[in-house]
Amino acid sequence: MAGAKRPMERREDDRLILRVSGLKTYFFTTEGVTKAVDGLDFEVRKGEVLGLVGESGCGKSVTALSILRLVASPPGRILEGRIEFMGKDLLRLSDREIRKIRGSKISMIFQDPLTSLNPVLRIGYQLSEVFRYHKGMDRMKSLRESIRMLKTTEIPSPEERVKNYPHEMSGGMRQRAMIAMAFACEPSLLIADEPTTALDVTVQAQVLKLMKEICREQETAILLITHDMGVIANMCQRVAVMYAGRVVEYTNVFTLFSEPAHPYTEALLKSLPRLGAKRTRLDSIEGQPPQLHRLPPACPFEPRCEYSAARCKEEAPGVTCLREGHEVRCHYPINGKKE
Amino acid sequence: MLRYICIRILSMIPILLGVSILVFATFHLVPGDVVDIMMGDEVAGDPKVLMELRKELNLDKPVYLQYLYWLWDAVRGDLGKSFTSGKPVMEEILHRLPVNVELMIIAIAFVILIGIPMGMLSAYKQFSFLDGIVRVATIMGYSIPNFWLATIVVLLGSLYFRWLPVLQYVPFSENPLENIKCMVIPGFVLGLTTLSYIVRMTRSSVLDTLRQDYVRTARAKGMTEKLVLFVHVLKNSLIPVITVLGIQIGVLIGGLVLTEEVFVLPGVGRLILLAIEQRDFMIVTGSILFIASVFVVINLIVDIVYAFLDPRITY
Ligand SMILES: Nc1ncnc2c1ncn2[C@@H]1O[C@H](COP(=O)(O)OP(=O)(O)OP(=O)(O)O)[C@@H](O)[C@H]1O
Ligand code: SF4
Ligand SMILES: [Mg+2]
Repeated sequence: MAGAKRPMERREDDRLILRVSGLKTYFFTTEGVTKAVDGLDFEVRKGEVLGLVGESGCGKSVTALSILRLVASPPGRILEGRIEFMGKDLLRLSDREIRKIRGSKISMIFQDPLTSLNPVLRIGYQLSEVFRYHKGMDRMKSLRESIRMLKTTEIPSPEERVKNYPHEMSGGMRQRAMIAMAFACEPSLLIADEPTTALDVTVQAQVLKLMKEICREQETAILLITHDMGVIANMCQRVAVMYAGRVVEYTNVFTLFSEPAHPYTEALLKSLPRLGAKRTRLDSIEGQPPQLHRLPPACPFEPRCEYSAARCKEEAPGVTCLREGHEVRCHYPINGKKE
Repeated sequence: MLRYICIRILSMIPILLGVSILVFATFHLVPGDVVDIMMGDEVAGDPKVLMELRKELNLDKPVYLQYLYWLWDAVRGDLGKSFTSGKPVMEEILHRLPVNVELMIIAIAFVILIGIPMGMLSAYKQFSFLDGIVRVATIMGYSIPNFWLATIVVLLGSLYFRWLPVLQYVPFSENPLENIKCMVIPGFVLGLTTLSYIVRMTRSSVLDTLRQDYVRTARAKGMTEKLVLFVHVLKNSLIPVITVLGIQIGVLIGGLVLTEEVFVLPGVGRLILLAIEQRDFMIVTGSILFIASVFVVINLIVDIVYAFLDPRITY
């Protein structure tokens, strides 16, 4: 949405790190075409944490993978759009050029640290790979750097830990090792795809705090993908709410909680347990999640929307800018503060 | 790791004991005793000579003592003497063993050096023309029976086209080049089924590994495809392949007898076949005990290789 207008800003905003505009990533399977990401726009600025929320299957992970061009192909394909990172369109880079960016300027943390680490290679080896590949260090030097990196993630006795295999570490420690790997080359952008979902609740908070600290130190921007509204409130400045492969609401975190404008956002917030309750995951909202290969012709949220009107069935809603920095894709945005 | 190896070596002892009991039992499951069998339908020899023979074989002692004597001899490498040639069984085996070892090495070399790279390539270029060819070739490879292929190769090769030395075995020590010439094709025929199997196994294992999260992580770190394939995929995808290879070695050993017979190679397999014909009981049991022990040792080696590949194995 943000990319659609304000052509003037493009030059002015030197704090802009990532601008995704009109991104479409489809999967071509035997059952038909799954439009996992279907015209997506958002921006990330220097040092900012942008949250990406939405139900399971709405295309969050595919968005993350598309940015680094890691979508499995076949069946996936990025059909169109631009992913501008520090002025360069990542979709137009050669394989070699995008490899130079992966893991150094843009790095990624995945949901399950156990399956994301190679089970037959030592942690030290997997970490030092980054230094060797991107910084051309030799074996000894890269191992020293790996130990230093593990130290910053507060893993106890890192000199011993580098000799461990992933299965010899706890879940929290494995994710710390992943974080060390991600921050090894001081990236400008970190993409974290549900980095704490697989961890114990107590460990979750520690890992988030750690990410926040290193990011502040290194001035890294984060694209934080999560189900968890609590994590959003805790970490993010701006939030993009995704539904069926598109951003339906895009605003700062305060407005999101106090004045949600899209009916889907409102439903998400309603489904949250009240303040004080422990769990703040969005489990269910009314109705069936959308089926990406059989979407309603106009507004994809229409079958579940309590504000739906005749127009919603006929005409796809465009982007409305309610005020500077608050955009919504709906014919009838909700207005007025909530109690 | 060292501890694991020691434990595995110690755990071989009961297996070998079991094997030895089985082999020993065959002495006693047959009606009469070994000496009767040896003599067969022939007119019984001089009773005095027979008594002497029975004494030499400890047949006049209680069964458990017989077993212990026999086992103690076997442990020291004495498997008794052949009834027909009078030479020690061990000597007869060791004399022919080089043929088998060479056949096995050639077959396994084909399996590993061709099978694994071919499987990897086939997986990496999934659904390509090359993958298609490999698929057809491997299906043929394991549906063609070994004995048929061996016979056809011998017939066509040596009788019609004359590009095979006509079933003339040359020992390696005499002429290495000629020796390898006459062993390569039998070795290949022996390994073909296993080769096809390993290609398919490697292909599916690599495909499976390529889908794993850690491969995505490696790519997200900026690794080149070559590094991803050889560092992150290879070792993981070899783990199931090694397991299958370990089982397949047993199949290969079984195939030796047939390969030797068709290609007229003087190996242990033919020794056993001949001994069965001549009712040379000591050779039969001795060779079987020997082969079973070799198989147990090979399994041990496979297990150790496996532990080296997969650190998750708990010792
Ligand atoms: N490799 C693939 N092949 C086919 N379809 C895929 C593939 N990967 C993702 N999809 C489809 O793309 C859609 C979006 O998936 P994605 O993983 O981005 O969801 P998500 O928002 O990350 O969900 P979750 O919260 O469960 O992680 C899904 O409907 C899925 O069916
Ligand atoms: S466009 Fe209509 S159906 Fe869609 S979210 Fe808005 S009000 Fe609901
Ligand atoms: Mg996901």
